[in-house]
Amino acid sequence: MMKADKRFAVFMVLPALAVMLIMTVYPMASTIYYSFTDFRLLRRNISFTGLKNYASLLSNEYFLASVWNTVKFSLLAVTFEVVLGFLTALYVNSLKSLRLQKVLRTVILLPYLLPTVTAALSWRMMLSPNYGIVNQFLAPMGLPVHNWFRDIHTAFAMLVVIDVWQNMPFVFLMVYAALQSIPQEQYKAARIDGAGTIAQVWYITLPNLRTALMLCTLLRTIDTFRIFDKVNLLTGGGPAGSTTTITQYIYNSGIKSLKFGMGSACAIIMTGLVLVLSALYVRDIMNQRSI
Amino acid sequence: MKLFGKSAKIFTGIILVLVSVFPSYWLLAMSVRPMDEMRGRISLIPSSLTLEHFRNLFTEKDFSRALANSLQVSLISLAFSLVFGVCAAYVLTRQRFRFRAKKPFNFWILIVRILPPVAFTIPLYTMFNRLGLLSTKIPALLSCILINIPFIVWFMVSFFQRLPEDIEKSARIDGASEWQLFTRIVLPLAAPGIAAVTMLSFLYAWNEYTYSIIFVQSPKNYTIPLTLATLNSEDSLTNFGLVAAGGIMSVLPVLAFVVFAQNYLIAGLSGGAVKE
Repeated sequence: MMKADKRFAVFMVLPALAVMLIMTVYPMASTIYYSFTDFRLLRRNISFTGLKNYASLLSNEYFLASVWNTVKFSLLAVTFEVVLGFLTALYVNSLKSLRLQKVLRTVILLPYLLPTVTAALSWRMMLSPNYGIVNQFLAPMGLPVHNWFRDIHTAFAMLVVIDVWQNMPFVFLMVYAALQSIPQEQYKAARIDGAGTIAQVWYITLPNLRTALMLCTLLRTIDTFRIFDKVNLLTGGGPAGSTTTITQYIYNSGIKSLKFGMGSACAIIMTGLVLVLSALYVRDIMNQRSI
Repeated sequence: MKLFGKSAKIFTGIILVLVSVFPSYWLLAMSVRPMDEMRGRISLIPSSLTLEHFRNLFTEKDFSRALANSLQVSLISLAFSLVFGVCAAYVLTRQRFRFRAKKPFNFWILIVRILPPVAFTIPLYTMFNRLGLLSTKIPALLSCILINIPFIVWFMVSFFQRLPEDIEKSARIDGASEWQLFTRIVLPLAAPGIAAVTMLSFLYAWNEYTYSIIFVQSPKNYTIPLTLATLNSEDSLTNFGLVAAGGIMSVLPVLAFVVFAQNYLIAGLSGGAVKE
């Protein structure tokens, strides 16, 4: 590489590199460091307390409950998102009119494109116990009505429903794109061999979609695992902690109460979980991307 | 492939459209519905229309400030993320540039896309606090840059990898400098990719909530999502119209992208693999 080219390369990459160092590498290292201390924002001295934060978190039932809530939320939401997204993609792809397909694609994507805060508030309005359209429809039919976000039996489920509603379109879009790249000859050959619809889905569609479905599952898992905005807006973690996810827990008992050492330890545990969940993906993708 | 019968097909289609559209429709219907039509039984279609909620939003809740804050934060962070991100991605993909930080940098970009925001928030908070920035818009702006640089680098790396390096090599032999090459040949070829990431990065910044709620402390710096969230916490019927009107305002950029540049938007959504 010539000297001038070297200068060019450095000049091009340096700003992004600097931002990442200051805004991510340094913070990540500090979070690790803080997690071993009793750091509180308004107190002067920080002392090193070793694994004390971790030990007290692992015996803290509220924290453990938040981990369980997060895992439960991820499992439920991702399962529904992937299954419904997949079925929706099959459905749209099976329509004969390409124009109709394109229009439907846009309509289905709508929830995904809304700002999360806006989507959450719209649902809150519909589900309002006094003035909401949902209760107004359910009540005359003799169906149970609830104060959806305050009732311990429904709050968690409502968050799952809203997340599925908003993010199923992402899975739909990825699967729909993958569906269109399956060679039609495969179906033709299968039909000649006498395969029915179910057999075609099982033996041709699913194997071809394997990569897309795995990728969606992983990306949705990473994203649902960090859920915060919907929770914070709609339930604040309640009622009785039944919707407190890890991020909401860190927000309430680490950041708002200024217990930064403890909050950092939570964040590190969460980071560890996310990295374990995505380790295989990271390995595969780094092998694919030769740089 | 015959998977659905004809009437089942029509039925599924209607359900899909209803479920997708109804919450947005309801937002719109509430934003233009007079107050007295919100009490008691609510009709599906408002029988008279009003703009009073929009008017109140701007006169009583100073929504124009939130709008200005959101535009400022989104556009400025977009400019920085775009320039930094596209330049870095280009150098990362070109074999002729070799330096030791290349692989670790690319790896770290992926990791940052995966890690939850809380991995960084506490030290960033102390840093902004020490610098006296918590009463300004700068932390919100920097958070959007932090979100968007990894997204743009990741997306543009796969885009640039599809543009063959040979063209650049022959242009180099013809005497073009690296800078000329980048601005005159590479950037125009990358325009579709840049268009896609521009729209998505703008939307990510426009919608950003998690970092902002932690870093933005004075209401005068609130962006649209934060303003909507405060309206939401005062639970009364008067706020329904305001929240709905604000919600409609927050959707306008997306709507514009869908109407004018849908294909780029969708390319960005499905190509950006690791989602924000």
